[in-house]
Amino acid sequence: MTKEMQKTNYDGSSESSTQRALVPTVDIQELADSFVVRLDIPGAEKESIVVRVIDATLTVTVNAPAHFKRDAILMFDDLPAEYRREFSLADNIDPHSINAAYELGVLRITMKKKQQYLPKEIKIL
Amino acid sequence: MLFRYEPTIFSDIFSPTSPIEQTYPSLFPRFSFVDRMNEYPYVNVAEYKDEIQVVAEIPGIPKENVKLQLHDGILTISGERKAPEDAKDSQWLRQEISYGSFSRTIQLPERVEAEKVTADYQNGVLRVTLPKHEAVKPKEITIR
Repeated sequence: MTKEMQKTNYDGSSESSTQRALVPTVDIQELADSFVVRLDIPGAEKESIVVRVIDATLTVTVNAPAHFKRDAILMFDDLPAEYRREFSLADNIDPHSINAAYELGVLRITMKKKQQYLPKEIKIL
Repeated sequence: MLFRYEPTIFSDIFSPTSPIEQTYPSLFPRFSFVDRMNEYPYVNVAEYKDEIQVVAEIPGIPKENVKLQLHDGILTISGERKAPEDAKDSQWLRQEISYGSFSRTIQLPERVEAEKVTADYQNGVLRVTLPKHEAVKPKEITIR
């Protein structure tokens, strides 16, 4: 799981220069029967977050607006931000069990392990 | 007028508290403190005609855990990001997000009305609005 998850494919050079493209920082935790992925995406609206699973690849794309209105008399570079990060899903993840919630600027994705990969106790007859 | 943020290798030397900048303040742009990008959290400051806005990206922190202090033209944002509760019985496969306390001070470019400062927190972004003091607000002068 770890190895697969670390494959973050991101090609900054292909982004247009008018937008700030960012790779959100991520935490990944494994629990007994599931995985929890947490991404820092401050300043986005829930509606602008897209979580997609295609061919065992989970992609998170977010468009966050700029922080300031344009009529400031003095400010630094402040452009809308595009967040993007990709994860390859391991075989033991059930793609139908993926859930996502956005709170306090953190996107929390949970995914369950497939039944056949869960530890099973075998009774001695 | 827009300024483009361009970090340089001199960012540390030219911080507002460095001796060189205190000796020759006129040589440096007023917003040079924003150059300190290695500090947490990311902070951006904009000056408007009658107010200053400070924006800090502090995702994952409930507003009860954030403290704002304004003293003598210096704004301090401090707080703590606690590790998530569901982290108890789990194995970390990757940890890029940092947890713990933080504090950052921002020197304001103009005098502000301390009583009228407002702050709001939404989706991990803290926005502090500081109205300028009457004395530093731009005024139009009528020619008689």
